[in-house]
Amino acid sequence: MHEGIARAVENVSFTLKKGEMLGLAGESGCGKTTTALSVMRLLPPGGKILNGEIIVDNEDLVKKTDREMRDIRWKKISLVFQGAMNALNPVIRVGEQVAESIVEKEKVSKGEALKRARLLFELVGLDSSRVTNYPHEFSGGMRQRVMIAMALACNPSIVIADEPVTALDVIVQTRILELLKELQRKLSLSVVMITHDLSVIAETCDRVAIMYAGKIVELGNVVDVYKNSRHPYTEALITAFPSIAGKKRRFDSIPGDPPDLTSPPSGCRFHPRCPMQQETCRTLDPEYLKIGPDHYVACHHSEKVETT
Amino acid sequence: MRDYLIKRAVSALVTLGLAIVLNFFLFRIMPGDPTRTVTGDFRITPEVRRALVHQFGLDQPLWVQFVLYLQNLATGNLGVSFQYRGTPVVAIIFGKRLLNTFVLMGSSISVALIIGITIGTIVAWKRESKFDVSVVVFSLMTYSMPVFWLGMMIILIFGYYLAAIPIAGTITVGLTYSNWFQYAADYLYHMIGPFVTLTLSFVGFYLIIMRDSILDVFTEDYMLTAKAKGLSDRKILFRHAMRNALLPMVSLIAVEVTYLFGGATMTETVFSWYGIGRLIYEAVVMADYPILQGIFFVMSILVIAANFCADVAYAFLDPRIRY
Amino acid sequence: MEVKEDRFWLYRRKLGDFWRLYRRSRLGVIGLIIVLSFVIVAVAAPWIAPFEPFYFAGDPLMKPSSTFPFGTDQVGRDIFSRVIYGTRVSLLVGLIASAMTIGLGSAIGLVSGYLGGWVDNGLMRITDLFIILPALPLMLIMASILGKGIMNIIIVITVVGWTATARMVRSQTMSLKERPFIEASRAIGSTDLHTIVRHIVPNVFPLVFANGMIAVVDAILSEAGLSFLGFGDPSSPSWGMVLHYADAAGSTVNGYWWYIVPPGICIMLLVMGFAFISYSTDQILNPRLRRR
Repeated sequence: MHEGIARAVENVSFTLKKGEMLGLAGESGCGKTTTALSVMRLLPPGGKILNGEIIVDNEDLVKKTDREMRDIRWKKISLVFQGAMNALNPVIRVGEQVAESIVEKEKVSKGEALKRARLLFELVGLDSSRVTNYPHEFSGGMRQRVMIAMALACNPSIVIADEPVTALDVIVQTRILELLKELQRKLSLSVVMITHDLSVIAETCDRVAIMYAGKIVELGNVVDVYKNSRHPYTEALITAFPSIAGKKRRFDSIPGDPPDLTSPPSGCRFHPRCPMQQETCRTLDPEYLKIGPDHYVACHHSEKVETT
Repeated sequence: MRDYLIKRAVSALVTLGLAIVLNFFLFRIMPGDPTRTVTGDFRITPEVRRALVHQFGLDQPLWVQFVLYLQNLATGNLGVSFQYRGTPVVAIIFGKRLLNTFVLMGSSISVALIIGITIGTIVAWKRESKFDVSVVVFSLMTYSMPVFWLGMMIILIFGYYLAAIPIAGTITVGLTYSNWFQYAADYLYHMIGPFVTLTLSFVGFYLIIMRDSILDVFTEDYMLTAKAKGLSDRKILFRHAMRNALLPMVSLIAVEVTYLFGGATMTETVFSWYGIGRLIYEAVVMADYPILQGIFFVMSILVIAANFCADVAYAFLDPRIRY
Repeated sequence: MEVKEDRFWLYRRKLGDFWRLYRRSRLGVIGLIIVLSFVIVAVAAPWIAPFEPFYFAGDPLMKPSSTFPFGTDQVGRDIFSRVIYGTRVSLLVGLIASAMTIGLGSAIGLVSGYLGGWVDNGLMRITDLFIILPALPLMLIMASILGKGIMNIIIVITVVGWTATARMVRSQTMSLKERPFIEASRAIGSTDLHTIVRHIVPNVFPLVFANGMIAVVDAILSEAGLSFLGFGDPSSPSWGMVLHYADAAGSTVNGYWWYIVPPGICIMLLVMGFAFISYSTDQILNPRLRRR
């Protein structure tokens, strides 16, 4: 175990357009969750935003005081966590958990807030009479719906969903994703979908950013990035997923492990695992370049990447 | 929840049964001749001794004695004291003494719990601050002090040097009261010393346990959710964290109940408080077995009851059990 | 042969890691210093103490002076020397009693947790019984049965205190029992005893050690309490016994503060030392706590 400063996220820059769903993909530990937490200024003690800006509605969140951030949280941006197993407080009724942010932020009575909670339940496909239940009385998928209802309580414009369906089985996954997509359309939400599962992104997102070891290595329109990957890592990720319709072929997994972020590799962080690594890759950190109308890549060899 | 409570009730009853049996045998194996104690060790003739033995039923086979014991228990007869010549044990215990101990222990535990839980919560929030460090060190200090020494110091400082509190006893000897208030005032005045001692000795433990429990709760995911929702610090702490942190506390406190009687015994002895704690001490010194057996029995029941109450409280506090 | 050596270096490295983490904890270091200081005093007692503990050195109940830093007791013995020699008894009883307590508790917990079934049920019923019985009254009764003496006090403390460790070790053992490496060990034909000793004990040991520090705290306080009430060993005065004699001399009502304050502060400090060590050890060995 090493001790030191881990630069969890470096030079990550992206724009979320209104009403779009942006996917943030990558392996565990690549910095996706840290990015999400940073946006809401929810980093754990020991974590710090060194520099940068987070601009929402023309205001920089990095410069906000704790008090101001508290007001912004849940009103402008809200979060949907993974494994709602523990994300809901086990000793408080779910209706109250949904309602409490409404009471706190919009200064309405508790009765009024609970009424809205019931409506939210119906919106996400839950029986509104269940607002008096406790979290353990729900199944995993239903708990996720509760979390979504809770996230929408104060009518935010941005929702960050961190691995919202990872802990669920495939059938429930699909239903929840459909629900998210439908809600996004209905409420014109801007959503960041964080996941390691590329198929989820393929199903739901408009644009995607691929992260590796704390950096964005490729960003662009989903179709472009998937069909026309320009980064070896993206390419490897996509080929790692078999296609039912495609040809029979061998599984290609990516050799090696993600790097230790307290002492990342020199030059391009991906180079130890990259099939195309060369001298420049070992010494020079690739620039983040625009290679298409909405397509960015950070790789020395972006032109040479083969797509299948 | 009903199943849970039934299970716990059965368990409590079984333990009670075992306690009754143990109570019987424990005092049968004590050395010494009870006839000696009763007669004050005067030389007695063998006939007198035989008569005494017969009177106490000690010449019967063991199982007969056991049946007698159970019969007596069922009718609320805990025997007759050796040192207080013929006074029934129940009269001695359930006279003023049990009440006095209840009042003292009850108030100390309640106050210590309230202070320990609230301040424990607050310092967990302000972890590593000057306030936190000083509170924790203070708690560790009072926890590390032997109860009887704390009592002695309080008597020394406040009784001897400052003459602010009485040095011993439950009430002032020889004082007559014109009304109930006077009596209560005198009683409470005498209770200050032991009350402060007991409360101080309990509070440190509760505080640190609560603090630990809250820090544990802080690592849970739902605390991050609460913060992400932009709730006020106070709401996060008292509504979300505390309610969860109290659950393990209840179990821990239940286990600690037996040690509370030890603290009470020490305090009552130091302050000459007329309660059952001090009665134990006296009975052990005087080898008054019936009283010991009686107190033991009463205390066992109290502990079993307290544990069961804790189980019930836990069932109410934790919705995962309730539903 | 090689396997044994490897294990030695493994433990050495683990100890080194532990020490590195421990050094960083302020409380832990302070606790260690306190305890070591008392140990030094105990060992060096004959050289440090100006008088023998039973020697009638001066007039009764003298206030502190340069000859008698803590004054004298009611028969003229030097309290300072008695406190210094008392360190030995308090430390000895504390350490031995706690060692026996966690030894007994661990043994019962291991057997109960590993064998399960009727053995477990029976042992747990007995444990429940001991937990229910009021601690101090039981100690007093046993002390009166066994009579005075250091060994008796140790036995009494052990008999009353083993339950906490037993419960903890049992639940640890039960959760360890389910782990794959235990199954593997049984699959290759190791006897139960071998499995317990080689695999379960090393994994249970860290928690038992942390628990042991609390057991020391309990033992020291219990011994002090018992001695104060008069069940201690007059031939080896511990701090509790000094306080017992202090009380007998009516120190509280007569203001003999020098008789009361030093022994009590010593008890408090020694207990605090062990409490600090226990706290720091717990922080390091309990992985859940580290997350905080």
